[in-house]
Amino acid sequence: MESTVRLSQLMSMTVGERPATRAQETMLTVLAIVSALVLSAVWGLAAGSSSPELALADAYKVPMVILLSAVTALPAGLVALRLTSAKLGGAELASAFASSIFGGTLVLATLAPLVAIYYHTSAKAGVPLAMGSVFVALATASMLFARAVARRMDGLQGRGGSRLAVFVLVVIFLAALLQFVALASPIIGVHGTALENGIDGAFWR
Amino acid sequence: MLGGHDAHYLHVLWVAVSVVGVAVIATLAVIYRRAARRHELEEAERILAEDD
Repeated sequence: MESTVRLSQLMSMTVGERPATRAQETMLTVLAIVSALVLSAVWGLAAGSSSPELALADAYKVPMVILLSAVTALPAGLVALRLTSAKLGGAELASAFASSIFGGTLVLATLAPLVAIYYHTSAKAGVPLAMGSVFVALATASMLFARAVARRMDGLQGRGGSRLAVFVLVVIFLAALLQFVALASPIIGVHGTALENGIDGAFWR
Repeated sequence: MLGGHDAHYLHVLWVAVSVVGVAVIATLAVIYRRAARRHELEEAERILAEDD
């Protein structure tokens, strides 16, 4: 019962509602990250379903890649927030970031069955669809993050600073994600994709 | 290979960053437990204040 209530509160936080107390916000932030790890593991199982070994490995690798990218990006966002004297608190930025990651991985998990079925029934569409689901999830998470921060800044001054912090966080998250994906490759398909060669494979092939 | 490193080097690097990830998860568990305790206390205080 309590977990259902927590999940309901987490969904509310993801769509922009603020928790009543700081303690509740902290709990929901941690819950958002843990839920995101579980949801991304579901996508990992689907993306690696070409072989049982890869599926099991991806169920561990994908959540770890997301967690490590978030941990890499968060300090830069907090520094940007402080240097621009934004009125938004660091805990609020972290909370908005965690809930947006949850939203993004929710999209990934929703698309996981589609990714899995295309993997096994199409020779050409499986890998592009898996890649596409990642880009859709990233776009969703970025939009949710920008919206969550904008709602937290309602009525406050210094919006430019918090916008810059959002931009810095998203850019560094993506840059870190690219390299962690490369480090953990293969994730999508047995032979991997162009993105699984890191920034060198993406831009200097 | 990434950055000109061999497979063994990259495997060791992945294991090392995975350990960091596991440590982060453990830290999150501690943060959650502390926040849950604080939340319970705040709820109890709120109920007592309502009764008064």
